[in-house]
Amino acid sequence: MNKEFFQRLFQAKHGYVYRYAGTVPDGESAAHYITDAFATSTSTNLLNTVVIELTTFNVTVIYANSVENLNNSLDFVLITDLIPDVVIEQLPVVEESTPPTEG
Amino acid sequence: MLVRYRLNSSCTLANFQADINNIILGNIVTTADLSSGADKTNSVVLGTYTSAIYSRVNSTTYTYSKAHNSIAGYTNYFRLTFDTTQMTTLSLAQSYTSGTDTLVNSSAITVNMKMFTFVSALQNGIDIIVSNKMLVFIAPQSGAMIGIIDLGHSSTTRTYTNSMLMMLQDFGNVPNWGVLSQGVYANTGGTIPYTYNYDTASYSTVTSGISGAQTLRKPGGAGITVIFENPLFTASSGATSLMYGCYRIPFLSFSGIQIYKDASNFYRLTVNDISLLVD
Repeated sequence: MNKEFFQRLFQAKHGYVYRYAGTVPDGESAAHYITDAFATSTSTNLLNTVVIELTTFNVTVIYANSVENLNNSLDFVLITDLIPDVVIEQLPVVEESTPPTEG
Repeated sequence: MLVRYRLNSSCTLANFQADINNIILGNIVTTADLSSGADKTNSVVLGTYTSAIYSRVNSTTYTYSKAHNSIAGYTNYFRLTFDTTQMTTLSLAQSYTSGTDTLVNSSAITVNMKMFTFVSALQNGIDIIVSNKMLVFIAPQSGAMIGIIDLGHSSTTRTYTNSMLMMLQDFGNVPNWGVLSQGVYANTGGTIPYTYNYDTASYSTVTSGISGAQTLRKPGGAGITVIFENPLFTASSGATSLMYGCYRIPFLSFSGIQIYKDASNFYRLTVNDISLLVD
């Protein structure tokens, strides 16, 4: 579960992914409950979010389409942002040429 | 129904919001029903409104429910957001919590649809299709050609029934345009916010492209050209799904954004070699 996995999962290269560390009460829809809890913790109901239960990894994650990490609740543990890592290309090293010696 | 919505120079944001809201809810039967911010002389209403599809679910935010046109039990939600001068985003959600006015499992696309005044020489404005199959905004002057489209079932959505049967589509994309990748055209004008994805073995957001068989024009008699319309599908690396009311028409049959009537006398709006059923 690295950044590339979540970029593929949410088809996005922006926003943040959190692991839900709280408990969903019995009988509640996980998506509705976690979305509401996230909206409460970020104090906005205008974020676009997606809740996904990854049964393979036994974890529930929420993706928030936000430009910054807005969450500060202990129930939501930041896994990664989805912003592509900057790749700095190394310039080729130019070797100094030695002038031919005379004579 | 298609409303060719044209604005005058005195249009306020409140006028703009009221008109869009009333068009979605079917309160605009003739151009006389538009607000004082509309250019009623140059606006046009075509076709008829389908009732019992759209409802506004929050009186403060512009949040609505939309029932699927043919498959019972599939209602999704969408929200329009505005800043002080324009409609900024269109969000589509699998579900909604009314108590907190929160979209559940949603994606958004940027629209930035501005309130340009109608100019006769430009014939500019916003074309809005509101039908049982789609809600589409075509505003070329703002560079916005986006919509919410009903999808047909696929093997995936029949098995994983929490998958949405609606999508966001950018009609700035054209059919079968883009890089051919793994058997599908990898243009990404489409977004299904929540559907099952075999690539990740979980529900996820899926982006997709428009796919449709190439079609032709043929002579139908003296002075008559027949335009064939092939259904469009949204294609990703998983199953493809029918896009209700969307058809591929021959290359460059129409220039720009135009309307025509099909053989059943139904209005169509065309954009980028795509014909959208208005009624």
